[in-house]
Order: sequence, then structure tokens, then C-alpha cells
Amino acid sequence: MVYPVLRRALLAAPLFFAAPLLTVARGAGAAPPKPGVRQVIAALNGSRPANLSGWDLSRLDLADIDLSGANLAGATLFGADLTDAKFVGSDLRGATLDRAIIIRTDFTDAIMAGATMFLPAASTHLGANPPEEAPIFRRANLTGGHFLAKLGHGDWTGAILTDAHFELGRTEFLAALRSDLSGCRFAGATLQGANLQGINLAFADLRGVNLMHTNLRGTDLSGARLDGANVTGASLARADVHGASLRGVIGLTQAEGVEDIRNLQWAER
Amino acid sequence: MRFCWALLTFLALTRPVWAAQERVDLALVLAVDVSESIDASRYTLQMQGLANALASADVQASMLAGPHRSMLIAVVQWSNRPHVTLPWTLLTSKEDVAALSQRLRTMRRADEGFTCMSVALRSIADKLLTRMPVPADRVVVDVSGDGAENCNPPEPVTQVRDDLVALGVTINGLPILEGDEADTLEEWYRDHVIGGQNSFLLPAAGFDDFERAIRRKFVTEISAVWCRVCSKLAGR
Repeated sequence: MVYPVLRRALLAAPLFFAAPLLTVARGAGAAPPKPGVRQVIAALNGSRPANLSGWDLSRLDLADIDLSGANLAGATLFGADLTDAKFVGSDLRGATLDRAIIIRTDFTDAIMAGATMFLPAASTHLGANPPEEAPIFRRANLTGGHFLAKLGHGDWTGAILTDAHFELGRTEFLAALRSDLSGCRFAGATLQGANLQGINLAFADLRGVNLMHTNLRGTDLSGARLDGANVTGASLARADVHGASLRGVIGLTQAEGVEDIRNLQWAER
Repeated sequence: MRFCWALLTFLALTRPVWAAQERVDLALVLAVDVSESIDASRYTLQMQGLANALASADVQASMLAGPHRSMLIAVVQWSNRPHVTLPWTLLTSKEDVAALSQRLRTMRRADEGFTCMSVALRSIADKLLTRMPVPADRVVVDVSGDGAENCNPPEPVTQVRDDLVALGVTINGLPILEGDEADTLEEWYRDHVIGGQNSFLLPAAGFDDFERAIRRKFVTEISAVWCRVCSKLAGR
């Protein structure tokens, strides 16, 4: 007699404990149903700043649209066409920009902390990114973001990339997918604690940049300009500095793996 | 005090022109095909044709003949993707129209590639018409080109056309009958492109005939004179 009651109670228990989780899940689903471009424009035409937080904007054609100042925190922009779009000062915290098309997209002053950008398209060419198509990240805050992208020749001046990740950790399998920031301009940027292991930073302008405790293991720094950069505590083992300019680099002796730096004899010091 | 007056004068002078305009007679989008088949000389013929048409007295008169004496115009060059080469511009005087004509003569080509009309019309529907600075009594999209869709679009042209028509937009067509598709293009435009109230088709017999056709088309669609000839041309 007692057994069926006990059995029912035991069976109901997981549901009881799961109820709060289900509520949370429903709460997360309270974001608007997948909007179209017209809904996005309507939101932008409405109250300022536009609140698109948590919206699913995946695969939408948002090319040429000015989303400057909009709140896009937690929004999904997977596969969206953002060609020539503007996100100046927008809040993109935790946003997903994976596979987005970001040709000439302007992220100046955008807050992109914790955002992800996995294999976006930043060029119409199959080869090297032409500078005129590069997206702009001037003074953007990308703290703690995760990026695996070919973003050569971009403007990152004054950007905050503290603890940002530009590699997947399994570069031996994904050599073809390594991030490419070659020729990028980082004047005044902060890369402290960032993980740039194995990525391409050839001919990047890193003059005066804060690279303290930055992971630069195996990074291609050939031809890069690091004059006056601070590399205190950075990991430089197997980094390639062929033709790089290292004049006035701060903390080189306090960096890790200095003895394993490649082509140090061919660097300007 | 002097500063306040200077500030007020500055604000009055720099205020957008349409701030004083509550409504216009017509909002016209000129969607110009710049796909690969449009070579440099054909592009020039198209843009010069548009510019000359706007410079003509009959077009200028009809543009400003409505009750609001004003219209909005935008130019979209389209091939692989659409480019708004002239954002919404308010025309309230013949001088405005003449300035626009001059601007079209020197307008740089935006792109070249495939004939992606579906994408272009979708972009016009979603991004351009939703950002009109003032409401219009009529909205007309004026599509010209020398080829049918060849872009494997995400949605058929007819679907986008129907969406535009549902929004109250009229789409008129000016197929340029020259080249490989000269024999079939008029029919394709009739079946796939034009739609909406009083929509019509006005083909040009080649690029050399473009200026005549666009001038006639302007006068017809701007003045909204629905004549018997237009009905015959429209065929729907």
C-alpha cells in the first residue's frame, strides 16, 4: 500500500527539482521569435538605444545597416551578412558572430567582451585579405572573447584584448584554420593575458603594445614591429621573429622561452 | 545671447530639409542593373539616359506636379548585391532635380557580377522602404536591366515581388532588349517583376533606346496618368 505512494513520490522528485531549471529555460526562450530584417529596422527606428539583446539574427542580411549604439548583448549573429554594417559603440557582450560576413564592418568602440567569432568571412578573396575589406575594431573591448578568424590588415588601434583567445589549442590539427592577424595595426591596444599561440601576426604593428603575460608560443611575428612593446611574463617559445623590429622591447629578459625564440638573430634589436 | 542666436540660426540652417516636409507625392526607387553584361559603355548609356531624362522639362514638371509638390528618390545599383548609391533624396524644386541629374552623370559604378534581382528587391523591401524619411502617397520601384535572374536566390523573385505588392508598392519594369535574352526578357519581366497598382512594363529596344524609354516611363509613373497606352503596355 505504501509502496505505490512512495514510488510515485520518488518518480515525481526529479520533476520537482527540475522545475526551477525548466522555468529558467522558458525564461531564456522569452526572447522574441526569429525576427526578419524589417523587425530589426523597426527596432532601430524606435527607441534609442535599440534593444536587440538576445535576439536571434542568424543568417539575416544586415549589410549596410547602421546598428551603432544598439544593445545586442547575447545576440546570435551566426552567418549574418554584416558587410559594411556599423556597430559603433554597440553592446555585443557575449554575442555570437560565428560564420558572420564582416567585410568592412565597423566595430569601433563596440563592447564585445565574451563574444565569439569562429571563422567569419572578412574578405571576398580566397587568398590574403585585402586591406580595404578589413573590418575595424578600433578601441573595441574584446576582453575574454574567443576568435578563430582570418582578419589580416585590420585596424585594432586602442582595442582591449585582455584574456582574449585566438586559437583552439589543437593547432596541430587545425593549422589551416589558425587565426590570421597579419599586417594588423595594434597601436595603443592591450593584449595582456591574451592567447595568441601559433597565430599569424606577421608584419603586425605592435609598437608600444601591452603584451604582458601574453601567450605568443609559436606565433609568427616575422616582420612585426614590436618597438617599445612590453612582453614581461609573455611566453615566446618558438615564436618566429625573423625580420621583426624589437627595439626597446620591455621585459624581454623576464619573458618565458626567450632561448627558444626562432630567428632572433635576424631581428632588429 | 549672441551665442544663442548663432546656435539657433545654425540649427535652423542645418536641419534636414525633410523636417519641414510632412508627406511627399511619390517615393521612387530606381533599381539599376549593373551586372557583368552591362559593360562600361552600357553603364554610361544607362546613367546618362537617366540623367538626361531628369534634365528634361516635361519630367521635371511632372515630378513636382502633385499636391505635395515634392517626391523622394533613391538609386540602387544591383548585381551580386544591391548598393544604395543615392540614399533617399527629397526633391522639391527644379533645381533639386537638376542637381540630381548632375549627380547621376558622375555616379560611380558600385559592382558587377550576377543578376541577383531577388536579393536586390528583398533589400529594397527590407532596408530601403523601411527607412523613408517621410511617408509617401505612392511608392514605386523602377527596375531596369538586360537580363533575367541568374543568381540561384534564397527566394524566388515572384515571392519578393508579391511581398512588395502586399506592402502597397508598385513595381514597374524597363527591360532592355539587347543581347542573348532580348527575345524573352520582356515576357520574363512581365511574369516575374512588375506588380502592384497600375504597374506597367516599358521595354527599351536596346541600350540606345534607354533614354527615350526611361523618360517616357518617368512621366508615366510620376504623374500617375493611367492612359490607354499604358494599360496596353502593362498587359495585366
